[in-house]
Amino acid sequence: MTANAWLKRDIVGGALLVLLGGAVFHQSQSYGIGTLGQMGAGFFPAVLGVLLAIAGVLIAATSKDAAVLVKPSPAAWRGASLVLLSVLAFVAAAAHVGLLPATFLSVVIAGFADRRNSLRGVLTMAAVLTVFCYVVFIWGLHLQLPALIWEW
Amino acid sequence: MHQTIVDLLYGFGVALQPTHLMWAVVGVLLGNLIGVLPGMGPITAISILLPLTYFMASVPAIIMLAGIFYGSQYGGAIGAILLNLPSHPPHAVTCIDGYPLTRAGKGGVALGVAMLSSFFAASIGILVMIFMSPLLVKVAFKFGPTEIAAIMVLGLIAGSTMSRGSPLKGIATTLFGLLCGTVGTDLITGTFRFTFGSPSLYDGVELGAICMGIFAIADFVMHDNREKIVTTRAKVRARDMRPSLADLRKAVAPTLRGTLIGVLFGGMPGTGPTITTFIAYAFERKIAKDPSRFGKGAIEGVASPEAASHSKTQVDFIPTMTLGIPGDAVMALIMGALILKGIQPGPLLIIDHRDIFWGLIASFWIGNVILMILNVPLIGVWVKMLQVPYRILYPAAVFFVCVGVYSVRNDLFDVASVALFGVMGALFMALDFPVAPIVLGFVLGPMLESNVRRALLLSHGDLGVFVTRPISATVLGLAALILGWQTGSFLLWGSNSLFMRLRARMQYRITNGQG
Repeated sequence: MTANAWLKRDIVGGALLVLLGGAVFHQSQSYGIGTLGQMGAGFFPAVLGVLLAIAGVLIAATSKDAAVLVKPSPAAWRGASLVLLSVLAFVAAAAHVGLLPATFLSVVIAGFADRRNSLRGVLTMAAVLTVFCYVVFIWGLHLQLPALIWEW
Repeated sequence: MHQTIVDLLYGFGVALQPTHLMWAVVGVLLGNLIGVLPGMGPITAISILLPLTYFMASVPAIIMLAGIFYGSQYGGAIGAILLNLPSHPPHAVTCIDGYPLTRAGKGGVALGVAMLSSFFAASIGILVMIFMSPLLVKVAFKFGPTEIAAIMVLGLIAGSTMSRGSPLKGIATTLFGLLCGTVGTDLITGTFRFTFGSPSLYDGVELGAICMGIFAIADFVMHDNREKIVTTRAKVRARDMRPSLADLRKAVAPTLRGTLIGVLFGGMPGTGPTITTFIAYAFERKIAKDPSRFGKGAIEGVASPEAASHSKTQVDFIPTMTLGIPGDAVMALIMGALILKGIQPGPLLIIDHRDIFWGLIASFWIGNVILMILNVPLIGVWVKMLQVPYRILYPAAVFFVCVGVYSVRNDLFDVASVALFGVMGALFMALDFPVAPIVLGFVLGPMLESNVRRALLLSHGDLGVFVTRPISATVLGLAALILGWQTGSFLLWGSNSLFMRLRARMQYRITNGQG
């Protein structure tokens, strides 16, 4: 446990909130704070930034939670990155090669996030969903994405 | 009174049109389908299916949303009773007696009783809604921006501090949600805020992108590779669902009591349906002649909490629809969906859009009827659905999320932002922050900001206006009291509310009672 223990959860969370709050406060000032009676666009976000930072300090300072961030297992890292990669692959493929390849690619990548899925199972799933996607989203609902293109 | 009945009949006329009825059936089916899947509650069901409604006119869209909502709610009860899986927190209590009933071979009866009692409770909740809403609207017209802002603050504080875990963390995620709501063009000055030069952000962050990021994708990120193999030996057929006369008789009084508890707690911001179900269960156990039966398959322990959760949810729609102030994340999501369809819930809705308001109320009831009719023959299908392994489910879900978010605004940027919100949601979960308040903050944020700005503009910058006007002072005082009590008791005793302690004590007793 101690070997892969990083830091106390609440300290990390509090620190992140303080950082976020500070950044928001800083950025808000460029939008114009204004006065209470005539608020600028930056007033509300600036207040939120300050409150976020205060919440962060209070969370870190009053924490009784001894739990630490546990380093995820390699399988969990791999799964998490593949799920996110799957979404991003969908975006990239949909923009450049069309909806059908994007569907196939995103299902294959997401499928591999779970170690128990076999290559054959993943490919079957992707093929089925690609056909489904064609029938429902392109043929049925006329989604505005082209089915197949080649555009770089 | 007379006018209300005329309006209601008009609403039924709208909701009963064949095409509308068809969309209600589709909504109930899809909602039920997603709701029975492990880990998917109404929030996930609505956010995944929300994009489908963009292809529709506003009345059928809302009718379908109501169907999805009821379907997914009932779907959760199926998992709780048959598999001991509380995929949606309000059904956690239902597991306590529902699952033992399944093991005793009476799972079908438990499902039937759950269905009848929730139908009854929802009907009563709808009646309360029909007669209370016009009254509240009359009051709402007297509210200025000061009062509205104060009620929103109360809603946000109650919603964020009374949930599970640290109230400070709930407040932090609420603030984060409010912040997400400020992204885009400031309506008063025209300044672009936090858009980072991207035109896709000028209209703000997409509600669907936030919801699917923090609920769906974040969940997949955290939980793929999870080893949960779901099996049940329960074989439930349609005819098993008919409870015997003796079972029914046992369930009548608990259903009535549960409904009443739900109505009493309805509209009280921050007391979620989960807490209400625990109170209903505790009450039922307290007044039972033989409390030892509870936890071993008492039908009362299914009927009462299910009734409480449904009447409570129904009554919760009153502040959402009449004031435009949702009490929890599910209500916020439904309200966000209405706004996207060009309908702004609030006092004007009932007057300007009678067809929509009364059509919605009628479709609530019709949705419940359809749910009952469909579930009897389909129960076997749902049981099979429950056993689909997660590892097959989530890749398809990732794809549906992508297509769904894209279709909202036809913008791939929104899909990419889902990945970003997925990372943020996963980070919040890893750090033990509740994510549901983000949605509440996001939906209420722009309204809160504009009301605060207007209130202070009218008072020439005098903050005192919030405490000198009696309604606003009372509401804010209540908010301060909740905030102080919740944080104080959390820091002193480690558990943040009376309800939570009650719940902890009950869980202790139940587990010990079962030995």
